[in-house]
Amino acid sequence: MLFTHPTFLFYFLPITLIGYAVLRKHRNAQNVWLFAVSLLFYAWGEPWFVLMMGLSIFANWFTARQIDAAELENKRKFWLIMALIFNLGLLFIFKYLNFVVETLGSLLSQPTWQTHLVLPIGISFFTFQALSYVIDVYRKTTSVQPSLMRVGLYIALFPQLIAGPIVRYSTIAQEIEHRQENWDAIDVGLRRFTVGLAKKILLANTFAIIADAAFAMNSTNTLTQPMAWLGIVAYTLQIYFDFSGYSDMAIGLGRVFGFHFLENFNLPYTARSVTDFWRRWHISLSTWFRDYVYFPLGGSRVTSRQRLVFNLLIVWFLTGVWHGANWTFMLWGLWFFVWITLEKLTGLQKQLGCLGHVTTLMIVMMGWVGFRAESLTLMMRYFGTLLIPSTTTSPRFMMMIQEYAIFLIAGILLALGIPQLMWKKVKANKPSPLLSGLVLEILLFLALVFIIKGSYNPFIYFNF
Amino acid sequence: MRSTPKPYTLFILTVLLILGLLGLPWTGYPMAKALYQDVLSDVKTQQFTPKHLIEAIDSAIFNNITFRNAFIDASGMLYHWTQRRVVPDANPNLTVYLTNSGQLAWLNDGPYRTGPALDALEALESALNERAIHLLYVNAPTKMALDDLGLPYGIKDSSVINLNALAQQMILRELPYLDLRPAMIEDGLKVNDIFYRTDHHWHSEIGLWSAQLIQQTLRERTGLPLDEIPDASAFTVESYPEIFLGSLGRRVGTPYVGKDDVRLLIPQFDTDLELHIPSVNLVRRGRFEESVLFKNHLFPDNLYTGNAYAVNLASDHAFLRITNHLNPNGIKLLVIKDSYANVMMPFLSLSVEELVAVDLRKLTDRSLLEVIDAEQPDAVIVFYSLGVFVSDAGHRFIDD
Repeated sequence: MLFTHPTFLFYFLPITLIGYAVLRKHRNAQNVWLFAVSLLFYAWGEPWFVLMMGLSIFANWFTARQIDAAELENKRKFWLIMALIFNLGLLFIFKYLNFVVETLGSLLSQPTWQTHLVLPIGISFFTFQALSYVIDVYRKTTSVQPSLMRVGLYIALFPQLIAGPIVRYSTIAQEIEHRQENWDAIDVGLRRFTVGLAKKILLANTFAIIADAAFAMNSTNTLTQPMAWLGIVAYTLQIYFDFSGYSDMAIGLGRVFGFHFLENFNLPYTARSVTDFWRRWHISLSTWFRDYVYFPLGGSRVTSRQRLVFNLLIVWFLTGVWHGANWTFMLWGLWFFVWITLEKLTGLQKQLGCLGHVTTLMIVMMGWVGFRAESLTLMMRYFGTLLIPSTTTSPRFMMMIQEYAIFLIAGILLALGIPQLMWKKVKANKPSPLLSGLVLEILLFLALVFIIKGSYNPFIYFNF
Repeated sequence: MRSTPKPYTLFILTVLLILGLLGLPWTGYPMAKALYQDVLSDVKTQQFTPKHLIEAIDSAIFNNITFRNAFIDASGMLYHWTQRRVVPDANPNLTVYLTNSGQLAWLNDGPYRTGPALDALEALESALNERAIHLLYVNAPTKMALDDLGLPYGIKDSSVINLNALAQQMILRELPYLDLRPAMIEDGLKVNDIFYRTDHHWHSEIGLWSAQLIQQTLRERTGLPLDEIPDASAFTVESYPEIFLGSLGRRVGTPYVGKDDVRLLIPQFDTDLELHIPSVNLVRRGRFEESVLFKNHLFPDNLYTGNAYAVNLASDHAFLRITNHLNPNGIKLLVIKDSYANVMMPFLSLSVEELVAVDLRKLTDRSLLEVIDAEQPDAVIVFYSLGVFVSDAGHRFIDD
């Protein structure tokens, strides 16, 4: 089930809210209700996925309890390793096994087989979320949750289940039992949800049309240079508004139920360096890798440059791998490894000054080519079209500009935070609250028009 | 909770409830009916699974949202005000384009694989030759097959290329082929004369025109004695202004390009036709307009779910028969058809004793050859748009 589908908006969400409100005097019952509807939410995509989710919940609850109960360090470590094997094993089988088999097969020139396993939606997100809980219990930075249902609620809570943010247990541990719902918070949450919905439906889906057209033309070798540039600009905007829109909806819904999820995006395209970009983009993932991979390897506090480079290589390779089972994702991760290493070793970003914003944006956009391309060959072809000068005219480019110019302008301004700055100034003058309400009502109406009409609405997280 | 609900909270919750739960008194029954039919169909074809059930629920909900038509109209208005010529769809293949001539059109993006379909047609010709039955393949051009359409700048369509390639193959393989495009161009027919603006089908006048051309072609090529189909002046035109929202129009809303007029051609001369559609136990005998035209389809309760084009033979059926009681010594035709033929066949039936029609996409109880052997027509006409011809069901002429 997706947030942007009528089933969710007009039935699932209202029924969930009604049930939650009816049970408002019984916190435990509310938690059971939320857990049950979260499982239904997940099962809606593919019913048997919920069995796998149940297994994951049980395994992580069990291993965390074993870690907490064990007195000897060896035993604690043993259960941590079991949890790692289970979670990463699950991820490997569903997400990477076919890729590994295929790759080995081509390297060894041997025939290969394929599993026909369907990738459970959101497995990368909830696996990492569950792992963070077990690791935090091991590190004693969070206390174990004895209740299987509450661990299940933490892992499966529907607002952040499919597309994050990856929530640390410590963030919401208190709120599972002691959260405060009130109309102010619900209003804030629903406003945030509306903004996210508008970002996804009105902006991301529009940019998807342009980006998909460009990459389709690339597949058939009919891509022109102007269209290639337009395509990558559109994809840069699409992925930002899609992903941050989904995060807004997740954070908003969490707020409605009294949960405070941390921010996941912070105007990443205004970053002044690649390092800064990753402090602003998919923050929950980058901090996960920082806390659970980079720091345990020693982080930046290592005695040799070689070790620092090695640590960065591991983190960024794994970041690429996390995003998908394809060489393009790995190269994308390594692309950032190169630039971040360069920045750390040379202090490059300080030397660039303001120009750093422009170069960072270009580096990120070039990275998106690899991220979006379906294969290495197509990725190289796209780069070729982008960078090799050409005089081919592009009627398709002109058509796209005519149709979508206003969206592109709005998207670029919003991605750079300019309207948001202006809105802050307007708010400082304490305008009528009806004004912000009116803007949201218009956004909601427009989003619903295109949802109900059945407009183009791609789901780009099937790799995750 | 100590605070009070905020205005925006009340607004969004009210909207979501109205569009869902509170709308159930109006949408509940059609939703349940659609769900039941979907599930029943899955059960009958042994395809029922929990996932199918979920998809059926999603579909029933999506197609029965409160005020759905108003929202689609609102989207049409927005696209119209912003002068957009490309209306994206959830299914990218169904993205609607507004042409220079004010037509709504779908695109045909790439080349079709016609090899298997042509092989099947050759096999059909052999089978018919054994039975001394004539064959004629008639290509029904779609909108994009006519050059004067005027797509938005930068948009290309492959229909012309595909049809030219098909015509070449038909000649190479020496298959009996009638391409309607040259005659359309020669007679000065423009795309707005041929097609509904909001639908992919033809106007009634083109149904008559194409029936006349087919009758003439069959007579010339096979010597079969088909009666002359009277000229358009022998028909009265019944006009129904702005009543039809076609399959393309339903995706963009009425404010985008408005609705189509429907014109019915009613013979002024004597007619006595009998229509038999076994799958719905329908038998109708009477004048042309009483037997083969279904005027109740012109005024559906819901413009977005009705289909005025179904005035022609009540839409598509696996098998139907039209008997012309004023031509008892005429010949018998069998038409293998898609929906483009529905507007042509009533007129063609005026030139023969009997016309039977088979839609291979719906025929499940017997094979085409079994139908041909049972009916023993004098000629078989394959009347297809290219997309249907190359589809698996479309060229299932000879069952293995």
